[in-house]
Amino acid sequence: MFLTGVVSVFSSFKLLPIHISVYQRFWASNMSETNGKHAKNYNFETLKYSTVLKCLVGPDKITRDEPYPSFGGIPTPLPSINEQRVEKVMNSCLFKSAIACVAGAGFGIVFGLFTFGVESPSYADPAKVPTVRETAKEMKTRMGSYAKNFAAIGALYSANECAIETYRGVADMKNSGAAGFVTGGIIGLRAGLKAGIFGGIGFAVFSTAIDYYFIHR
Amino acid sequence: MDPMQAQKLAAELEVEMMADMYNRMTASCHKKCISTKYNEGDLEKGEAVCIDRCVAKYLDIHEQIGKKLTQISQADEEAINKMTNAPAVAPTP
Repeated sequence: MFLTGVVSVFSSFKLLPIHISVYQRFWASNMSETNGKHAKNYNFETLKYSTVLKCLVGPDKITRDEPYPSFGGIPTPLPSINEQRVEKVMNSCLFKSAIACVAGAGFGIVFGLFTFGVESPSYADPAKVPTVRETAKEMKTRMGSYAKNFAAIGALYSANECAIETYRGVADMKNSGAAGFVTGGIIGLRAGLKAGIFGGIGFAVFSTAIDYYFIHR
Repeated sequence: MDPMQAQKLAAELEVEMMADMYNRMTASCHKKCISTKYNEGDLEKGEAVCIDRCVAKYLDIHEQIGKKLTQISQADEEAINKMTNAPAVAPTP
């Protein structure tokens, strides 16, 4: 009807005025022959396309407060504003790197405990049996150093990977490789440029292998 | 055609326009942003970021093209008005 005339105009706007008038006249003549006599008396109006467009896109646009109903697939309710906030925080780079930092610290503590049990440091007097307090102090320093190292590695790697993935906009395996290179480079740069480069390459290979094996296979 | 009639017509057309735009936007941004290697059910960070940017760009372009279309159709209508009000040649049937 009138609507289809307008919608067909939507696709061929260059032929607009001529197309509409020809279509209307053709449709009127067709209708009057097949459907009834009242179609002959129908009053057609010329459509001002730009006026209608201004109400669709432009300052006079119809604004709604509620979101639109879903237009395809299974209608799922939109998440509430609090759910959206929580999702935003949980998917942010800062939160991810904080989680990786804590996880790294925990892993470092366990690793330090284990290595201390396997090979304990030597004491000044080999014959003397070390007391619980001395052993605990040695344990604490070793676990602390390992925890600090692994926490730094985890936080750096996670932050780098999140930043690179945000920049690229692609969830790929290259993200882990690049993040590993940067992390290894930063850690290795403490011992010079060459150590930094080699450390970066090594860590990149390692992180890509882990990513391939566990996630992107 | 006065603005009230135009607004009524626009209210009818708007749902259709929004549905069409939504479908095209989802198809286009899905093709561009979401890879076919499904490693996990949730959107990954890169995919979510890509979708945000794709939707923002799409809506921006939709508005800009709409404004350009309004300009062009206004110029067309003025030309047609001039032609009908002062025809140089008699119109052929």
